[in-house]
Amino acid sequence: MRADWRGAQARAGWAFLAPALILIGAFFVLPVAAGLGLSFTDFDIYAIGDPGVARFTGAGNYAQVLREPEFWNALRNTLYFVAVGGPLTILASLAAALLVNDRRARWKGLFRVVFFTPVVTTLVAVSIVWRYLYHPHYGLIDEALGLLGIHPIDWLGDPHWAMPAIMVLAVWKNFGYTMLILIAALQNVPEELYEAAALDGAGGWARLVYITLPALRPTLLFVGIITVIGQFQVFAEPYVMTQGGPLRSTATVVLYMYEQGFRWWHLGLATAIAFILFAIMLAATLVQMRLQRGAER
Amino acid sequence: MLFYRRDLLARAGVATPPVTWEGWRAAMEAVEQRAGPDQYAILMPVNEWFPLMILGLQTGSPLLDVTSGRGQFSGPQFRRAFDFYLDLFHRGLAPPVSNNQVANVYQEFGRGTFAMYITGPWNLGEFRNRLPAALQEAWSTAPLPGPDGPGRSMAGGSSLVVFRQSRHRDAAWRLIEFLSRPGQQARFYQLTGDLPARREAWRDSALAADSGARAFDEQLQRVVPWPKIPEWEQITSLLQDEAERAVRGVVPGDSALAALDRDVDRVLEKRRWLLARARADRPAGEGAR
Repeated sequence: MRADWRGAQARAGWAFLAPALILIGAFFVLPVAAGLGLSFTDFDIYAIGDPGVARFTGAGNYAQVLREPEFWNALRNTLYFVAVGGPLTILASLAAALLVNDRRARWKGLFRVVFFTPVVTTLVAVSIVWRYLYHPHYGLIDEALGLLGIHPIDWLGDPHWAMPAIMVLAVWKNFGYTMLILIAALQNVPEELYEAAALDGAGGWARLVYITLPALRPTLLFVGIITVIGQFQVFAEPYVMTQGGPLRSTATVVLYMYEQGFRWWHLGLATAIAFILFAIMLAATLVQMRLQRGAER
Repeated sequence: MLFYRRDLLARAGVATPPVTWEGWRAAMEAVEQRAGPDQYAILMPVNEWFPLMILGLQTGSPLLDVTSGRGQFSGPQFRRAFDFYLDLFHRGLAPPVSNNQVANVYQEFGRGTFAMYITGPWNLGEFRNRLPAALQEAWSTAPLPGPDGPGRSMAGGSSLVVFRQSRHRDAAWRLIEFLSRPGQQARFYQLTGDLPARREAWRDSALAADSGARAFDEQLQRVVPWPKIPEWEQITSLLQDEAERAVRGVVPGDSALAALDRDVDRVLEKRRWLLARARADRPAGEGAR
């Protein structure tokens, strides 16, 4: 009797779960499994016409990707982007959140909108404007630097400056989103803590270091992880601004994957790149969580 | 096809467009001497592959050996084209920039930032629409100069194809036939500005009177198609990347071409395998697919 009732309950549970499970299965598990399978073949443009000519290559694609200098170049560029652009995004959004959330700040709503606007604009439109900002002859940025006596820099045409230029664009485009999350977290910090600290004679810096940052720690971890995950997948910015140039200095892993998959139709190789990138991102996330746990102890 | 500023060439003492590479380079030197700072004789963006590919076709380079599936870029013919190409950058006649940095080709052409530009007939209408009225008399088009006389160019554009497995092959073929009639092609040109592929259509009065198009008519007598293989897209990217490295002086020209052949051979591995399989499967005399 009791077992029967349990069985019925389990069946009901499965029935309620079924829609979600079917969706996840059809749109996540199956494609990922198919992708994994594809990454062990040399599926390419010939195989699109005649699947019979796809060959099973085992780990061949993975070995080839790891041998490809162009992949390492793309990985190096991506790590550069993540290592500099990631902290910059978080610093910028933290600074903006603190400013906008300060009790003394006026027109908070306006500033919040202004800082958040880049997030909701279309990247393609924005990048055209930024391409002009960066232009060595007509660009506002070089014009301003010229007033300081600095020679014009060909931001997007110089292999050394192109990546930093794209980082600045990406930080500007994305910091508003993380800022919003941090503002929400800041509003949850109890006001009494600040009052108590002020009574004890803590200055602004001490309150930031000993109250605000510890209170924000879980949020900062979350923000850090989503920022890094997002930045490992950087694609649109270099794709529209530089197409990976000059000298492939802004080619990123996802851009390289896109080229392999959708320009040159090496779909097997492209899926192998996707799985390698997934492994790298997973490792980076685990390291971040481990660091955070270490800091808590 | 060479689009050029007639006024800038005339100012430099070049009355007629050059015909040989030698004359071309001399004309560019002359234009460059009169040019201001940040002005160049020619624009060949380092992220465009076709100017270099055309120079290679002009010297008679096969680019690839399609039957054996191997790159032929380090051969002497392509080598000659590559040397000529690199030399234009090293002499400062062409700026080592991509067309991202140019921002607006038409505007810069109008400003005289460069006096020549290699592009195709689709730009005839653009140059007419986007250049100011005052400059309309100041530019023209000419067939490309060649290594030792009027040069070849690339038969670009798109192809009409019929799928082997289509259920409507006859209808598709009839459509292609219809679109290829000289009358239809002339009409198409009137509607879109797309130049006709058939010689007969060029006798159409509108085209015969069109000065910008006349140079294309002449060039069409000397065109070569590029190898029709699916890997072509990737090969052009490889060529572009290696050429950019050589232009910017990261690697010497020799090593760039050797690296290019190595990469192209790797890209064509699948094709060689398919060709070998087809040869093994089929009796001799029947070509590969």
